Amino acid sequence: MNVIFIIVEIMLAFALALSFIRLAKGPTMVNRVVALDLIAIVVVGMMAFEAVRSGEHALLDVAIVVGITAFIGTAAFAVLIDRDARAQK
Amino acid sequence: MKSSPILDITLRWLVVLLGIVSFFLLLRGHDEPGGGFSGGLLAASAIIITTIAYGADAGRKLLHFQPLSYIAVGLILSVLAGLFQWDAVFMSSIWVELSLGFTIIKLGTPLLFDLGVYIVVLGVVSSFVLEIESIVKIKKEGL
Repeated sequence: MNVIFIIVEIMLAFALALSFIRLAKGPTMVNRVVALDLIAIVVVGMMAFEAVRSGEHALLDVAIVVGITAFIGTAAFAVLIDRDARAQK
Repeated sequence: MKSSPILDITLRWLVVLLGIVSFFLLLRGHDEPGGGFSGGLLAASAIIITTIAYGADAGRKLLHFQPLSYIAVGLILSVLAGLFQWDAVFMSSIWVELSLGFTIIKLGTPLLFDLGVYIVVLGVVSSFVLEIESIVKIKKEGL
């Protein structure tokens, strides 16, 4: 079991690092918003992993709430980009 | 503003889901993670997402009453939870067990207090968001 945990941990950390790179150097605003959404999803995965590893079932509820509210941030950024594009026209 | 069909269909389910999860957090919050504050924030985020997608009027319609009256009702409920006992210390809790045959429901003054906190947080956060949205709209029309 321990080997599986280590592999999953490394994969999640790698995904987080890749999306942070995209967040830092993304050429446009849209790339950064997608990277932020991806980071939220990876964090949900990390919480689910931690819930399985430690047996703390309360972390699963935290993961549900983070997963729902991450959508709100992405929608707000989308509205902001839309308004900017309309203002520049 | 023309809204997208993806957002339309997601919102129809997401608002219902947010309401259910926030109520769940409110009820289980006494001895597990959750409680009135986080439940209220989650319920307010249903108002926030509706306001983002359809504008402040749709958010007000979903809220149905004025945000300030939510704050007043929540504060009254919270104070009422403290006033139930006369001979004990203020805010000491009283529990009543309600048996429905197949299950037992424990009701008490902490639940009433948490419900008050839930309603206050919902009113405060949604009044912030609706006010900011109206300011943005006025500025945009002024340009």
